[in-house]
Parts: sequence; C-alpha cells; structure tokens
Amino acid sequence: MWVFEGGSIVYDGRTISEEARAGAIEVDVLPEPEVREGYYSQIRANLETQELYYDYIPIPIPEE
Amino acid sequence: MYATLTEIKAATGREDELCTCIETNTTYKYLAAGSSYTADDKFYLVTGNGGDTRWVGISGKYNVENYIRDINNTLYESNVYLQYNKLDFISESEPYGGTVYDMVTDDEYIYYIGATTNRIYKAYKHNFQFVAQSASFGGALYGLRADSTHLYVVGSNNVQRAYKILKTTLATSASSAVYGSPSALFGIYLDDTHFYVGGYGPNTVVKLLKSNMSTVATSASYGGTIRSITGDDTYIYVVGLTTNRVRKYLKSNLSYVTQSGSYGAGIYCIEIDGTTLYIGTDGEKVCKLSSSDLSAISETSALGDTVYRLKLDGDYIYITFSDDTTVTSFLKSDLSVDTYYENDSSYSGLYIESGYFVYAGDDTGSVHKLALTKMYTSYLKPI
Repeated sequence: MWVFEGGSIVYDGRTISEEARAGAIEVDVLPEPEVREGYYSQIRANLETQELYYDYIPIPIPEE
Repeated sequence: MYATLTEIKAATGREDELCTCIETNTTYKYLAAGSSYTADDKFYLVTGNGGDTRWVGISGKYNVENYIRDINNTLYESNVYLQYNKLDFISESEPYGGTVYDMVTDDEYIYYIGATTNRIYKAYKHNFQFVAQSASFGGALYGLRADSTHLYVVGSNNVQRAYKILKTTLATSASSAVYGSPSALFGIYLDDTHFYVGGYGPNTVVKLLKSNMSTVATSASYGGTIRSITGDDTYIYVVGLTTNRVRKYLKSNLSYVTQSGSYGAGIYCIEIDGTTLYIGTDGEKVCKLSSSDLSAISETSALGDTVYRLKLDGDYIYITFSDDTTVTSFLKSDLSVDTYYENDSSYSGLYIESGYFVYAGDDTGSVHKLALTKMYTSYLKPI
C-alpha cells in the first residue's frame, strides 16, 4: 500500500501512476498507533526521511 | 431476393409479400396501398407502384418494428410494454463504520463518505473491492460531488470548510476558508468552474472557485440551516430549515431573486430537471415547483417520514427517508409511487447511475447497490 503525506492510503497500486507513487511511501503493513485517551490517530508520511508517523488529534465533540 | 435498393423499389409486390435486399441486409414486407410511412431508403422504401411507401423493413439491419417468425414460418407482430419497475438488491460494500451520507461514482469507482469514520472511501464499483481511503477529516462528512479529476467534500462542525481532493490518491489538493465557527456544511452544488456550499452557522451560500477554492461571492443569510443546493445555467436554488422555503439566487453574484411560499417544515433536498424543481420536506412530502417563479405545481400526500435525500433519473424521482427503511421511486409526471426496495435499516445517502443502478448509504454503515429492473410484458399478434 502507498501512504501519502497527508495520510491518504492507496491499497491498490494499479489505480495510481508511477508519478503519484513517487509522492508516497510504500509499505506492506502500517505501523501500530499508540492508544491515547481522548485522541484519534492519523497516519502521515515524511517523504524526506521516508518514515511513517502518527499525528494524535483530539477527538472532536460529538455533533448532530 | 434483390441485390440493390433500386431493384426492389422497381418491383411490384403483393400485399404482405416479403423480400430481402442484399444491399441493405434487410428483409422488407410489402404493405397495402396507402402506407403513410416516410421513405428514407433504409427502413421504408417507395415503390414505383402507385407512389406510396410500400416496402417496410421488418428484420435485419433496418428493422422498424418487432416482427417474429415461429417454427411454422408464421409472422407475428410483437408488442412490448413496460409493465413495472422494481429495485433488486445486488451487493453491498464492506462496512464504512458509520452512516454513509453521500456518494458519487465515475466510470470505474465509487467514492463514499459519512460519519464516525470521517474519511472518503474509494472502491471499485463493480465489486466494491476497496482501493483507497483519505485521511480523517475529524468530523462527519455530509456532501460529496465530483468532476473528472477531483472530489469536493463538505462536513460537520469539526470540518467547517470545503475540501478539494484528488480522485486518484484521495490526497487534499486545496481547501476553502473556514465557513464559520461553529458551522457545518450540508449543501454543495458544482458547475464547470465554481461550486456553491451552504449550511449551518452563517446560513449563507458561498461561491468558490473550483481551481483554488478561493471565495468569489457570499449570499445574504438564508435564515436557517441550508440543507441542499441545486442550480441551472443562471440561478441556484437553496432549501433548508427555519425558513422552510425555496430561495432563488443569481449564480453570478448570489444576489437574492425570489422565494417560494413556506412549506411549514424544513426542506432537506432539492433537485432540478429542466424548469421543474423537486424538493423533499420534513412535512414528509415530495413537492414540485416551477423554477421560474417558484410556484407550487403539485405534491405527494404525506409519506409518513421526513424525505431526506432525493435524486432524479429519467421519468422518476428516487428518495430516502430519515427513518423509513426504503428507497422509493415516484413518477415525475403525477408523483405516484412507482416502486420501492425495503431494507432492514434506514438509508441516508443516495446516488443514481441513470437507468441502471441505485446506490444507497445504509445507516448501519455500508453502501447497498440496487439494480433498477424493468419488467416488460408482451404479446404476439399474427399478421
């Protein structure tokens, strides 16, 4: 699968071009996020270091 | 059998005689004198015999009508009539993880959005095999539209702005300014160069440039939460809560033009076909209006539940409800019920692929694909 900077993930590489793949990091398995109470995890890709990491974002207040 | 049209047109036939023309690869029948068909040298041939159109194509390349031969070589005319439509369940997507509020398709894929998961999912539409997912938007996503290269998505108070997303990778290309704080966006309408959004909070329509998502114009307040927007070449039409009317604005600068009478309850969806608007209301009705002066044309009786989503296709209107568990179709002409499909739980999002498939977002979290099946009846009349 291909993980893009902002956190979108393409599971089927046949659907994107070589150029698009160059803007992502290819992995077989996603790293496990930490569990942090009150936060949800969002994967990101650092293309310079070729590393995946998670942002931990406060879980929003429930809405209508 | 004749080699050319010239030969067959010069021939004198007998009534109901058949002949085949090699040049047109068509079998013709010789009619009684006085045929009113217009000759076109394909389906209908004028003979030299009295000047009327006499030879009529009945099978082969130019087959004008439905004629069938049985094993005894008896010729029948087959009359086929649409008896009724029905909606058949075909398949469903993997669970989305929350209510699916909206979806669009293109040639190959379906894209769908909703609550809890708060992402755009992309799957092959023929088998729902999962292809990609966007990053989380941090809140429920309510409205999704597409052009050939991008998706445009709006959502809840935790989203607060419109996003432009690449269809290939589902990466964000651009985003609009914050609509308001607090705010939520429900209505979204695209044309070639702009799109229009509206919702809760400022209760205004915002016109955005598709290319860079910059704000072009903002309307005056609708007077309540905007729930849905549609448009034609010159105007946009806006519906929502509190005001409970259809309001018409000029697309160019979003200046107010006119409004309909009050429907006495919130209006959740609006679509346009030519000069006729169709709305679905919290008063549990589907209503028709004229787009020119927004005058009422007709309405259904109360349907027993809030009409939540409404889409148009050909001669039909399709709706989903807030709680009722069906997708129901109505005839545009007289608003009579055409057919329905009943699910175990209610549907939210609704999308039609003209004449073939209905996609409906199940409240338990998947997309259902329904086939629109046309049931025909026919009879054979000996000729």
